[in-house]
Amino acid sequence: MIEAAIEGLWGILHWKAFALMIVGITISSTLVAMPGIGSKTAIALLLPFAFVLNKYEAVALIVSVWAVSNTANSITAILFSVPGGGGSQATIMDGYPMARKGEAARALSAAFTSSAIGGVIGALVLFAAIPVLRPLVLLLGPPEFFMLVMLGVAMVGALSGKAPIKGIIVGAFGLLISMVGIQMISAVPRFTFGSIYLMDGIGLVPLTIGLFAIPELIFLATRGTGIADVPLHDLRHGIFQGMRDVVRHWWLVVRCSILGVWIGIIPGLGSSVADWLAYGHAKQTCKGARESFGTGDVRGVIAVDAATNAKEGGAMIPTLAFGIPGSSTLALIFGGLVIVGVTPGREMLTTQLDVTFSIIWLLIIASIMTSVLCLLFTRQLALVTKIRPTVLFPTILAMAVIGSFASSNQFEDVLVMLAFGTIGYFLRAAGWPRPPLLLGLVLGPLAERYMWTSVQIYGPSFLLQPGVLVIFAILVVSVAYPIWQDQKFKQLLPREGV
Amino acid sequence: MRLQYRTLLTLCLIGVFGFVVVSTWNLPIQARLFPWTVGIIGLGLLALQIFRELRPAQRVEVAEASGADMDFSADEASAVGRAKTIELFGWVYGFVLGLWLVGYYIAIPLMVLLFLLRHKESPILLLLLPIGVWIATWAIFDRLLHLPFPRGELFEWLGVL
Repeated sequence: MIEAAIEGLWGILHWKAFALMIVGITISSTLVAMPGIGSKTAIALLLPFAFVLNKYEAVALIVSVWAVSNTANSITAILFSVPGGGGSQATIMDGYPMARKGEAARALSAAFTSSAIGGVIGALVLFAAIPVLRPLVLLLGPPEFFMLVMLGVAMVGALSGKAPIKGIIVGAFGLLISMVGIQMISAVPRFTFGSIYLMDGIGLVPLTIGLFAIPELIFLATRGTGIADVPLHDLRHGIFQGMRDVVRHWWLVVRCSILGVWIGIIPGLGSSVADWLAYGHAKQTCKGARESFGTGDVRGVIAVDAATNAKEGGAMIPTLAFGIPGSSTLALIFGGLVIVGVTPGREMLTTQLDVTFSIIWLLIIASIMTSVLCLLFTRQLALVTKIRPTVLFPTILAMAVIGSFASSNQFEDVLVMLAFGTIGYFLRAAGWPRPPLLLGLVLGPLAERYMWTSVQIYGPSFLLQPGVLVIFAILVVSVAYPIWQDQKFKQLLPREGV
Repeated sequence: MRLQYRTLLTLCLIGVFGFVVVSTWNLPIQARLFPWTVGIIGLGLLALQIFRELRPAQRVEVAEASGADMDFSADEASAVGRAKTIELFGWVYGFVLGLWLVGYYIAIPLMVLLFLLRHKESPILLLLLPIGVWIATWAIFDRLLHLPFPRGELFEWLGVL
């Protein structure tokens, strides 16, 4: 294990991997500041580069974009009261009032510092989890893995919106799309309609770019204006005060980081849950917080940013150990790892342990570097948000089309992007969540393989294995509970006149 | 009107899931098992969803937004927003058609230039951005990644280049 840890560290510290990590951090910090152009779009656009990189370089580029996406999005939240992403909504609650009181630099500094510490704590928990997870993963067989994959798709589906049934259906739709192409066991073409292109299946890259980048670009251009139409606050005074605040409230940082890690471990619960839970926790447990929170209390900023960044380390645990990405962004990272020949799951804790460690090191290094970068270039990053959509739309559309084409050098990939761009837009317009589709697409081949292997070994009775029954029970509860909550909430609406 | 559109989408999905189940009927069991499992479970859930959408008492409920996914904004839902959206999709589809007809090296800067012209951007930007995007395409994707960008079909038909 020590050798793997050292090998992973050297892999990341190689000049090319390190340079790619800085590129990833810069791209992520720049793009996440803009609503609509989040880390998902950035990773999708960068995935084609993975084809020409080795495993450490691909990890450095792709994982760094994701790992730090919750840090820079505090800039727009604090300065303009505009959440840069799901994880920065609660930052506004106290960050923006602080900025209005002239304490923008203090709030930003506290956010970046707690974010860095949260990221490191998340990575350390991931590190500590490896010795525990290794024997556990080796105990599980194909039936349990099949049910785990189904659990992952169902949970992300059920928890990724206000309509759990819709989410699960979209996840199942993703599983169906993954079936397009030559079936791996029988070598029979499925849903190819005689097309040679479809024999290889639908590509992850063009589908993702279409599903997320195109609707988001349309959204961005429909708004018509840049987000930062307000003057920047004073960003010089208070930086050290913000750092001191984090040190003074270190116990709050640790508590919220652990809370973030726990949220991350549960598939389907994203940053938008972690930030509000951490904010609520801080409000309930900090002295005098009930009165001061919402008026510009630095503890509100610290709690949220520590939790959202620590969440990433926790989210990596099911992704790496069981091959279940807890979100669509992690599904993309999963796809990126597959491109470079690394399959998340059992391999990551055995033969590819060095890659797992490289991810842990990357989480630590990238978290610290991003915070320093954000502290140094806050003004410049804030200015990026002033770029008009009329400039962004054609530039990103061009990159999206080239990125789609680059995945297999076929024009049909661009058509796939176009088709899923349209599907993504209509799904979004009708209130159907899109992330479960991506998860279904990525996990479909794995699920089918595990299912067939289980049937071959145990016959239909594989469904009666004790492990399978336990996971099935968790699946039923995790799907039924949000539906029950949903119904309960809707029953209350007419009575309360909401 | 919105509800009808939503229900139409649900019906489309029922069609897709139904097609998956029916079209795999004659495939060997190895290729049929997983599509049937997913297809039948999906059809069951879709039946529940369509029931919820068609029940008069539930109609308000199904108009919910997706929540964690990016919500459909009021700007986009307005008449102006819809017109803008149609125009933007026109740009996307037109761009892809352009790529097919005249190839990447012409279609990309041309689309950038026309889009900037349409939105009355400054002459400096009109000059710099298309050239910048073209250089990025050539340097990163041609020189670095060696992408074999296809020639436009139009040139194939005309027998030039």
